[in-house]
Amino acid sequence: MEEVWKDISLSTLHQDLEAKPTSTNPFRGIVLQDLLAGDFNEPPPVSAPLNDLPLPRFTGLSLNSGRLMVHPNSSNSNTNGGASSAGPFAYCSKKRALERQPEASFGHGHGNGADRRKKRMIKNRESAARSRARKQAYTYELQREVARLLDENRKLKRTFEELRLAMEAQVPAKRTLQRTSTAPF
Amino acid sequence: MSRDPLVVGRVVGDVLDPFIRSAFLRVIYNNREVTNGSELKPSAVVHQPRVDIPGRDMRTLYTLVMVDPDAPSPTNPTKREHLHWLVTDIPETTNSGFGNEIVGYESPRPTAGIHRFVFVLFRQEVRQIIDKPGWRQNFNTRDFAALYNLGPPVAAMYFNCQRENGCGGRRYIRLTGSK
Repeated sequence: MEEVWKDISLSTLHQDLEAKPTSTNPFRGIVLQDLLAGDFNEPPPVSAPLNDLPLPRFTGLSLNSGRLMVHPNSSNSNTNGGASSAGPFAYCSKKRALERQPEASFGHGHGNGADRRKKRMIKNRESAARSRARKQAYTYELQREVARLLDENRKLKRTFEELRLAMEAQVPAKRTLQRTSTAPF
Repeated sequence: MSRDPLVVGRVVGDVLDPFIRSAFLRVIYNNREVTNGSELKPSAVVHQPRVDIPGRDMRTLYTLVMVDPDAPSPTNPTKREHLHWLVTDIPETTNSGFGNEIVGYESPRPTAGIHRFVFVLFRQEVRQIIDKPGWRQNFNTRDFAALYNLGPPVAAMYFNCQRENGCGGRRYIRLTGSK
């Protein structure tokens, strides 16, 4: 999976750079977002300026959701959500990396540095995504536990009440000691 | 967008395929039950836990697998998955102590990064002979289940673990100073 990610970011970005001059047009943003979303087969949407995209929802997996192949029926909505939430953030930092690219190509030493920096950035992004996923997973688990415990508590309280009432109904039976003869003689 | 901790934590994906939970498991280290997705220190997990399998039918047998999918590090999991424990023939209503330990418990000792340690439970159809794998690394839970016809997992949980004093992060010297 990580090789796929590297393939997208390094090779296709190089191609992108040669094809179009660096400029701040919204179109580039779309292409990057599609790369990030991992949509190889579908062509990028022709005209979809940034402000038309849905507002970035906070997802624990903003970068990885495009690659999530776990739930097949969530593909379209998930990748769009993933793309839109990854878009604004990734777009800004990727642009900075791209702008550094033309300068980097001048010297071999510089190129190496930019490569390493890019790899570092990708690794850091993945690490951040993992960290968010960790946090989110634990939060969900705790929410589940709370719900389950509240429910159990409610049920136990009800059972307790019922038992208590049953007990009270039974108590006034024998209150006094009585004499009985039990001896055989 | 799934709210299942196993999916969000990528356990379903990296280790397992999506499955429907049909059993329960409780992992207990030092008399404390582990909450799914929580973090434990290596010192807390040195000795094997007691894994309870609640239920009603003692005739049902389970296989327990414990793996680390983030070996040697989560950014570079070349040895995914590292097998930490393998116990078979655990009767329902009892715990891991009643099963057949095929591969002994190895204490988690992550050196780099924050690792996930995953417990997976499979329901056995019969009491079966499982061969001890030749080595612990590059174990594949999916293949293992396919090989022994265990079917899909019936339960799973995981915890996170990093070096005792934290700092599972980058510790090597950077080659290029870019900042």
